[in-house]
Amino acid sequence: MALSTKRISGEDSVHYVPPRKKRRPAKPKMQPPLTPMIDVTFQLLLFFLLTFTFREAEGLIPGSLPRGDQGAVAEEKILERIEITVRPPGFRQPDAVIFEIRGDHRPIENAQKLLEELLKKRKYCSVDTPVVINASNAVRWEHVVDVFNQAVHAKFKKIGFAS
Amino acid sequence: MAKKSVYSSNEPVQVEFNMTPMIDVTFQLILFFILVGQVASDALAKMIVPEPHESQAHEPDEFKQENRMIINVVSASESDADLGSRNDPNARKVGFYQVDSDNVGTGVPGLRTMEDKITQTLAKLPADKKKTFFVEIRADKRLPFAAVYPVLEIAGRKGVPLMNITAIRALGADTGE
Repeated sequence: MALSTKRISGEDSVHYVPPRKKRRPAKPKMQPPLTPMIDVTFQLLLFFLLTFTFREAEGLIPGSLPRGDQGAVAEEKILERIEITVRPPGFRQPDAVIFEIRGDHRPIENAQKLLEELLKKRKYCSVDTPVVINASNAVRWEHVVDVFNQAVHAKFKKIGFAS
Repeated sequence: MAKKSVYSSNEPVQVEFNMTPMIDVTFQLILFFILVGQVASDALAKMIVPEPHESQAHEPDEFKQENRMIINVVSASESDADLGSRNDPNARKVGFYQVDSDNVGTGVPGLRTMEDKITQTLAKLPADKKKTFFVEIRADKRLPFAAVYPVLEIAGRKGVPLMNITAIRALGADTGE
């Protein structure tokens, strides 16, 4: 059996490696027990997978309410105000909507056009001009929120509701 | 002496899976769900929230969350989708009113309980906080205005100065404040 040797750089001599050193048992590998951690991790993953529901991001459109002694309806005793009527176009179309700005006598079909009309009004109205949303009882809440949103978009500050 | 191959040994061969990549992926998935998921709140009833055109809704300011009352107006519909009034007549009916996490019922008794709760909450508030107290109106978009108007009327009558309407935020909307 050949003897084991090793060379060290810079030295001409051959170093003998005793066989006893070779037979030395390998150092034991230390490994923490991963199984419980993997179990818990999978439990967590399963929980999230089963309970998770994608929800659309909600936000808040700020507004104010009239003082208690005035009632909830924005009945400002100011002659200059913008009154927007929100109603369904007919009894057979309860989900549809038509907007009208008082004095304009022209039905507005969608929220984009309503915003354009409000922005036109903003050119000669101050931000403090009251905007009253006069909604029909039957009209959907989403359409009322649409009008409120467009009034906020047009930078009006006093927005009230009437029914 | 010929070395004995391990494969020719009679001893059973131990096969081990490499678990590391699987654990890595699992942790990535958990991290994703934790970051993307929203904490469910009892005060937010399940409903279809309005999504206005070019929404001006902004992310709620967490510092003001304490000084508020969430009023949910929930539809009687069992559907999670907007099927239209003809296909789902219950969508236009109020299922119940919910003040924060309390279901207060529907109709006149429900509105009376809501009014009492607003009165009690306002009575407990110090004067400086009353000025900034607000109600958050969270109503199903399918409901008629007649179902939500009484809530606005009660809040105004009770002297709540501010109200916020819950709507879906536009993509990329900032915190607003």
